[in-house]
Amino acid sequence: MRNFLRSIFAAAVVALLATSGAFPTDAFAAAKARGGNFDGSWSVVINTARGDCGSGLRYAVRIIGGRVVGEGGYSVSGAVAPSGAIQVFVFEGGRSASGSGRLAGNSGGGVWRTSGGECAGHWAAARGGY
Amino acid sequence: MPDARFWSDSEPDFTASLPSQPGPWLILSSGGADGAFGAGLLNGLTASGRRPDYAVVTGVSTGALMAPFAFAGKQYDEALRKCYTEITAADVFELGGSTAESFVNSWPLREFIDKQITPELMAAIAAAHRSGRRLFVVTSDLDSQRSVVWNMGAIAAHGGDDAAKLFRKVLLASASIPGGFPPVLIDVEAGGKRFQEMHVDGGLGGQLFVAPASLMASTSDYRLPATQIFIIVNTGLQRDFKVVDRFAPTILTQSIGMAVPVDTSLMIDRAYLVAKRGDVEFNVASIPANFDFPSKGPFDPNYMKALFQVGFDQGNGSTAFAAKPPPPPSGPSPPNHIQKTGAN
Repeated sequence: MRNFLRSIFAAAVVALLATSGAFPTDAFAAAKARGGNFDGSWSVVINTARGDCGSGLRYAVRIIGGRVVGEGGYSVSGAVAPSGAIQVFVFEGGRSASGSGRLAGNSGGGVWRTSGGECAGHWAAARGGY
Repeated sequence: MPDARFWSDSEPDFTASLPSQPGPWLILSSGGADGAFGAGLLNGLTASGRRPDYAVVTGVSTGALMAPFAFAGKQYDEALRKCYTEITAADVFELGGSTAESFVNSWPLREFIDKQITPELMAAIAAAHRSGRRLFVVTSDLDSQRSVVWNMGAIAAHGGDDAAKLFRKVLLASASIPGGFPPVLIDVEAGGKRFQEMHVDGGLGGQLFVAPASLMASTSDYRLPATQIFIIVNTGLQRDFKVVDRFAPTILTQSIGMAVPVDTSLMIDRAYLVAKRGDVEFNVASIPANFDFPSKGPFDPNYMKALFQVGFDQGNGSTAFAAKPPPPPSGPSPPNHIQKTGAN
């Protein structure tokens, strides 16, 4: 029970910390093309293939007018092109990570890595979830 | 739905719901991902050939999630193993989907439960109920601040979509730590009126359930109508030292983490006294104090597999259960150099 609680709340803390980070939105200036057909709620599962960053965590994100925003207030940003190509950037308490990949229809996937290269892995997304 | 539930403090409702004949009772405690221990232990007991059909099975929180499989019998061992060794946190909760009710969203766990509680499993539970065995799951009704015991076999035996939905909702509620997970609203009807009750983790009323508190009291002369009692403790009772950041969620987590082992330990001790009072054989299995496999995050599959294996080996070994309660919670001394972090 203790481990479970610690895990749950620690993960929540990560999400909360993410909201406090400044976000370099201009990093995606080139990717602001509208991708409205992907608009809506998505659920993204992050898996770690290299490094000690935890694995198997699920995040809610929303795409609005081709822009990626975090659900529930945590900070994730990026853009999806009409082709489905997507780039996402997360800044978390001094550490940052970027992801890229492709959406097609109601699913998608790609890779991610921390800016320092400590961790890397892949992600998978599916529409909806709630 | 008649006989679907009763207040956990109701002596007459509890005694009326019990099997007509004494038999072995299985008590499954709370514990989150550490339920992998109990799942492994049950699988190990099957492998050893020493696992009975329990006359009564009770479950709280993660104990509630494994209780239907334990109750339905050995043929569900593999399903139980998969539940505790082949999941990740993504199968349990979603970050960022929080509402005013909770830090995270539990829709993945809801969907996971929906998949696991199959019509075949419900039918097996209903058949066992009709044979006189009993499956109880505990939730906490926040509105009334009372624990509710759900007669899951009676619900399964009722049949139909409404019963299946209620069965799954009760399991979700029993494992929904308030604040962490959203509460579960359950439709009820009383006095000709329909309304919703707010239910959360059954552990609020105690980390395991044997009988109403008044019957468990030291002043009671109640004799448990069981031949044996087997308690599986799905949570470590050892203290972990951790420098607590001055941050509300961390403080809350460490606070609950301090209270749970104390509550668990006291309840095990109480169950021991009640068993002795009624000449009932007492058995308890808990996570070995030397288990220290590192967990790299919530519901780390490698951690859960390691704990499952520990449980399996214990269940399949000669000393699956102890005859006396484990020692009260204790912990390591703090290191020499500690430094608090956070704002002043």
